[in-house]
Amino acid sequence: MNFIKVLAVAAVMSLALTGCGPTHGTSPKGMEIPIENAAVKLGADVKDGGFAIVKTEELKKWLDQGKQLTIISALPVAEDKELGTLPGAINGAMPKTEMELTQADKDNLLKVAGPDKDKTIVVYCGFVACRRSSIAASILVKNGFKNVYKYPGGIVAWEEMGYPTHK
Amino acid sequence: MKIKKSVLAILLGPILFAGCMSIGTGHDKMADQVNVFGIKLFSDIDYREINGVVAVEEPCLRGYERIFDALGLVIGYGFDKKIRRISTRNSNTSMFGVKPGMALEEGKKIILQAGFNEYAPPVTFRADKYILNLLVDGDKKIFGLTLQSVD
Repeated sequence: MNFIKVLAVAAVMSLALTGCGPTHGTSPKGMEIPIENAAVKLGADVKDGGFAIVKTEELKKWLDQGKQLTIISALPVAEDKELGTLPGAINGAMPKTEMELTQADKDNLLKVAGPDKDKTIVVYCGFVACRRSSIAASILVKNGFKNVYKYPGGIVAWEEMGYPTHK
Repeated sequence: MKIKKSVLAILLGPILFAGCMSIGTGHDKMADQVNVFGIKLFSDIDYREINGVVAVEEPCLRGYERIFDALGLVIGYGFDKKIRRISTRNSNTSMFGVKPGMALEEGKKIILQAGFNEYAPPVTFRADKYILNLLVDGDKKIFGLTLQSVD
């Protein structure tokens, strides 16, 4: 009889604990450490690069309002073709690390960005931890572009929201 | 009949064996010409530390990368945990006889002699399932090399 009582209490306790639910941190799907790593890197890149950031919903609003933007994808052309691009985006592919950055990459990006240094430029790549767009944004700022934004969520966040892409 | 079978086995055996060998040798030949800390493309060795340098791991759309900043080295892994990309700017390393520090024209000659063809001129070359990208600076000097597999 006692054994049954103990079992019943244990069952109720475990149910109660489950009811409190596991803590899920920043994202219900994600693990906290990779999120922390990406956040710390993004913060450092923004500070060092001197560019601003724009969130998914804000960028969508800008596009809906018809704000004049130059959107640059820093992903390789092949990945743009496969994944699609944000509306109106042009390609200015960047390497994954500064270590692999060539003069040709820089020249191509500046050519794609054009001569107007006052226009608003948004650069993006895959997702928050992707640094291609940070490298691009930093180069643009160093070359005198005044309104440079990195869109950290990139194509993955854009698609997660179900927003349209161009293929 | 038995004799025919034996003759057939004797004839086919070496051919099949040679076939297997040539695939292995082809891969090995390619791998032997990559002198980057002993790292081989398609290997599943989980490099986290090389020569006392601990890697920083970063995610990618198709896997993850280990960056060894102090060595000028990046190893790219696919989700299958196999090495898909090796990128080096370390002057003590070489791929197919091309070393960081060489002039682009010199490197190009060597890489074409090694069996690669021009893929996206002037810096990208392809041989079978391998794409080699020469990282070139403003003075047309090779400062690094990236080798990746094509699926």
